[in-house]
Amino acid sequence: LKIIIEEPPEGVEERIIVQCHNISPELLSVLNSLKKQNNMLVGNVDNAIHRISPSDIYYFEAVDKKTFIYCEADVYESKHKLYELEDLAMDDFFRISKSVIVNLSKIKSLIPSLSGRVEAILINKERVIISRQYVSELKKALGM
Amino acid sequence: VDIKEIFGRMSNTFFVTFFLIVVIVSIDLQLNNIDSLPLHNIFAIVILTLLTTLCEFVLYSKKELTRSELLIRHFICLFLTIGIVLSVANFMRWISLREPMHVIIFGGLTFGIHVIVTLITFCQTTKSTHQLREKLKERYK
Repeated sequence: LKIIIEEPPEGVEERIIVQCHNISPELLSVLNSLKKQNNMLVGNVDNAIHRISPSDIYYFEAVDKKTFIYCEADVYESKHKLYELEDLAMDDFFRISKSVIVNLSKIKSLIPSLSGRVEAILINKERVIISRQYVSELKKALGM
Repeated sequence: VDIKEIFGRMSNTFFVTFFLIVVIVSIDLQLNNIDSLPLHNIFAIVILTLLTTLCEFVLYSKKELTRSELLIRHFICLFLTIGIVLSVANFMRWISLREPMHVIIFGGLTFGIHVIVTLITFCQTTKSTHQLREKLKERYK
């Protein structure tokens, strides 16, 4: 593949144009990785800024007006509000209570709990509660 | 807190509780060879069911409750329900609070109904959980 980088005229939006005869798997993987780069989230820990891929995120939690990003073993603080993260409309993410948005692909199992709530056990063995009203929302979202 | 959701759940509890009380009263009438129930007693049963259902409000909170907080609220709800049932039963002269046996029987029946209603809710949640589990499995297989 030939890579050509051109400077656009002033006022013209920066863009990537792909010229190809057909979309090969290699090209598709490059495009997917570019797409993923765009969806990267930023999290802070100890004054250091980290770029986090949504696929590495287990869940987001809002605690005392702060939003935290939970990965397998690390926790980052996000500058986004929980509703802003919800609005990013990332595919596998779903709000399961007032303060938590979980990555559905990280759920290992589900256990019924008291008062219509459901407990979700994640792959890293953490537990999060799906509150009663969000159980029905989740059912709707999954087409039930 | 979703009012529609609360109303739906409470109406569910109301009808299940009312059904269980009707079954118990019917058995009691049969055992005592009584043919009919006075109208004021039927109204009292409806009001009693409504009051005990309203006790469920204790289980709802604006903030997310932890498991222990929810458990404590379940106990408060149970004691409130037993208190209301005994008070109404005493007011209607179905029992006398001075008779320990009356109190034990009514308290026991109320506890039994509360456990059955809680179990029904748990069974419904188990069913929902199973359906969710299957859907997630399908999505991420």
